[in-house]
Amino acid sequence: MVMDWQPLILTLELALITTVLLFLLGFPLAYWLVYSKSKLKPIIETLVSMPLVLPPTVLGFYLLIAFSPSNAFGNWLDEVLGLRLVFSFEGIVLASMLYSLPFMTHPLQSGLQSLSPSLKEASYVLGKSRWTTFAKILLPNIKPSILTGVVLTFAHTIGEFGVVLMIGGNIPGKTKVASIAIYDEVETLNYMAANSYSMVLFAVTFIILLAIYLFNGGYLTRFWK
Amino acid sequence: MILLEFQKKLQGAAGTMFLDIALELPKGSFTSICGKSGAGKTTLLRTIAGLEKVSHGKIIVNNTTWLDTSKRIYLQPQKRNIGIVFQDYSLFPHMTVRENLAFALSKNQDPKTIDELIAITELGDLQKQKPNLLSGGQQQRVALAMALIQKPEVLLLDEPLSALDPEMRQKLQLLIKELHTTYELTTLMVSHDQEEILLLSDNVVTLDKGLITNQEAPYQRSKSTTSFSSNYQLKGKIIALESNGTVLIVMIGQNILKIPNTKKESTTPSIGDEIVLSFKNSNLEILL
Repeated sequence: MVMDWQPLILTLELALITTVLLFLLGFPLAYWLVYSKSKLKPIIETLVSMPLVLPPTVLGFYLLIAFSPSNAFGNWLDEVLGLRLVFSFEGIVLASMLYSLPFMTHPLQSGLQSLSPSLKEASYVLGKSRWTTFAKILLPNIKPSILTGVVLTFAHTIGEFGVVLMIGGNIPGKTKVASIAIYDEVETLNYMAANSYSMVLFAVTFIILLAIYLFNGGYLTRFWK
Repeated sequence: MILLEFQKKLQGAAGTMFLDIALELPKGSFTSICGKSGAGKTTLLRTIAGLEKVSHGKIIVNNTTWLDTSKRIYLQPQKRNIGIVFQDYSLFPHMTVRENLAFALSKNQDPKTIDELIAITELGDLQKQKPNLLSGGQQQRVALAMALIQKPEVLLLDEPLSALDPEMRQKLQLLIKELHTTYELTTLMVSHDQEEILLLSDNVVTLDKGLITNQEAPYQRSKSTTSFSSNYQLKGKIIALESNGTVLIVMIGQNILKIPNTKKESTTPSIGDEIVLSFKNSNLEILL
């Protein structure tokens, strides 16, 4: 039997787009969570962590309700922005971003938190702007945290199932990612195909995680030197 | 001239207290700030740097207003012409010594200034090293070079030498003294070390629980120094006793003396006792 590669390619696309967008969103969020003194902080912090404990189906269910064109908000999105988020690729990207939010935000947050505050102050005293300080001092010093956040988000998105199924359904080429394809194949007792998908996912996630541990543990640099 | 006049509420270990500062420091002066930990010394420096805000007060440096709460003036730390050396040195760990200095340079400055400071702080051999490979004294020299590269008006030092061994400490004290003169700085230094204070400063401010309790030139401050008199006194500490207490081993500064116990009273001295050695001018001879 020839394996259908489409679900795997779709999975990688989803993971890649989710990771890039989430990095752009997660960084300002993590920065705000570390340095803000706002009273809203505990609430935002809780919301960011919710996807860790909430069943993905709960998240998927509410997103489904919110984005359904039969609702006011979903209708508005559909008619004004031409964006249909249920049973579409855009929809599962958005859902994945929410679902993986803590996996990106937490490592960045702890990275920023572990930096000595005098690092930032020393740069300010030298007349450097907030932006220069951020780009030239803070960013390079939390490289391991950035790597962890990016890679965890990527790997976690690959492993997503419930939330994608709820809001995306099972449309080949649009929302049928590998994890759903596996479920689909098992349903039709096609264990061989399920096994092929599973093996690929297993191998990919293993390699990704191994890469972070090697890099952050300093094994690679030690080897090269 | 630097005018400092501000109040700030502080949360210390002993509860709330007020840091209440009123100081006028001449241009080119070297002021040491001493006092117990938690007295507000570091906060004083941080307020001058603009890293702490105050409820009301003003800071005027050489006719430029850095802070005036009554006129709602607050100059960002970026805009204040200062150099600061933090207690933990705060070098940027991902850059080499030279890159650290290059980062510290301001936009329109001549890059030759880097070489000038590398030369004066003797960092030539270390410029390609990252800070975590340097010793404490070397890191301190980099921190000083970074603080001075923009030719600041004011230099703030927060216990700059407290983590160093005595030899390195002495060497850097002289370097600080030299830099202070060469760059015509007005310097404020937090320090606990009497010797350091005496050597470097011409003005000593003592803080206690946020209040200035004493301000004077360092010589008057040291009780053991008297004017030319026929009688000299040195303060020391007994570190050991020999021959049933008839011979004392005494430490004065970094010197150890073995002296007979000439104390007449019956009380026997014990290890750790502070003593005062007194001797007459007539026997004094100075050797070089």
